[in-house]
Amino acid sequence: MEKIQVSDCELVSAYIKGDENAFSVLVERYKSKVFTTIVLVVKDTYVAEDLMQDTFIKAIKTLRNGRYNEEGKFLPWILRIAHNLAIDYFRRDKRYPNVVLEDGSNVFNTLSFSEDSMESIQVKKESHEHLRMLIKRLPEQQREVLIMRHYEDMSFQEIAEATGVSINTALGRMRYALINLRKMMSKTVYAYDTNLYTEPQ
Amino acid sequence: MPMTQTCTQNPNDVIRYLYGETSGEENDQMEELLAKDSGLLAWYLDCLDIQLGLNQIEVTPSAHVVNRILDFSRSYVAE
Repeated sequence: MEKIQVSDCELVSAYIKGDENAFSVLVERYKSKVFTTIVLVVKDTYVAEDLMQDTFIKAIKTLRNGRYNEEGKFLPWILRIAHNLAIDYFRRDKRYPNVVLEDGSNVFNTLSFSEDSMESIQVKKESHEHLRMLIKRLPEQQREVLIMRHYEDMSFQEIAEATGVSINTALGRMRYALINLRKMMSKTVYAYDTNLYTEPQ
Repeated sequence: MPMTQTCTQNPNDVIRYLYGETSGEENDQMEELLAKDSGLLAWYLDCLDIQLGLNQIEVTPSAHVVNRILDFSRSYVAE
């Protein structure tokens, strides 16, 4: 029999009433999505872990102090908190460190894939490690739109409003991000084309 | 946003279509355009391929940070 999943809304209500287990379920459900979004912006797993903690602490305080707007959905809300903290950090400290974990391994060692053989997991790890590296190389505005649309599930209209541009500019940035990814993907790792396209200003 | 027939607009419309932001009517128009325009179809397939790749990227935080969050929640007293 298929297990019925408790909705985010029910979990949030239960947590506000003091059910810690409900919050554990929410954290477990969205920890990777929140963390991935932050890592893609700040490019550093140590910083990303700190920002992830800050994100959830902000959420805890808002929920526990009765300031959560129940009309909104939990995931877009917490992703927005994560995004704002990550962007604040990124703009404050524009750094490009190597992405490594505490044990010294590469961040892609923790990439997760569903129901694949070990061989296909290895192939996917390599190809997605490559794609992850390419995302890091996108111009900032294009990377921002890509992350907001793809990982934070914001509409292009919402992205336009959040970034203070027209919807066509937001769409144009996404288009150039995809063009640049495709262009870079067609090169080998030894012959990156460093001339990335930027959208007309 | 109405779908237009210009070269500049169509690739943007493909992106809206890719991310499910087009209306039913726009979907029909886009599917007709894709059937007629091999260049646009190639662009759509490229975008789809990248989108599938992006879907596979997921990074998991350490158990340590998750435990710190849960510990904070348990000890937090509302203001």
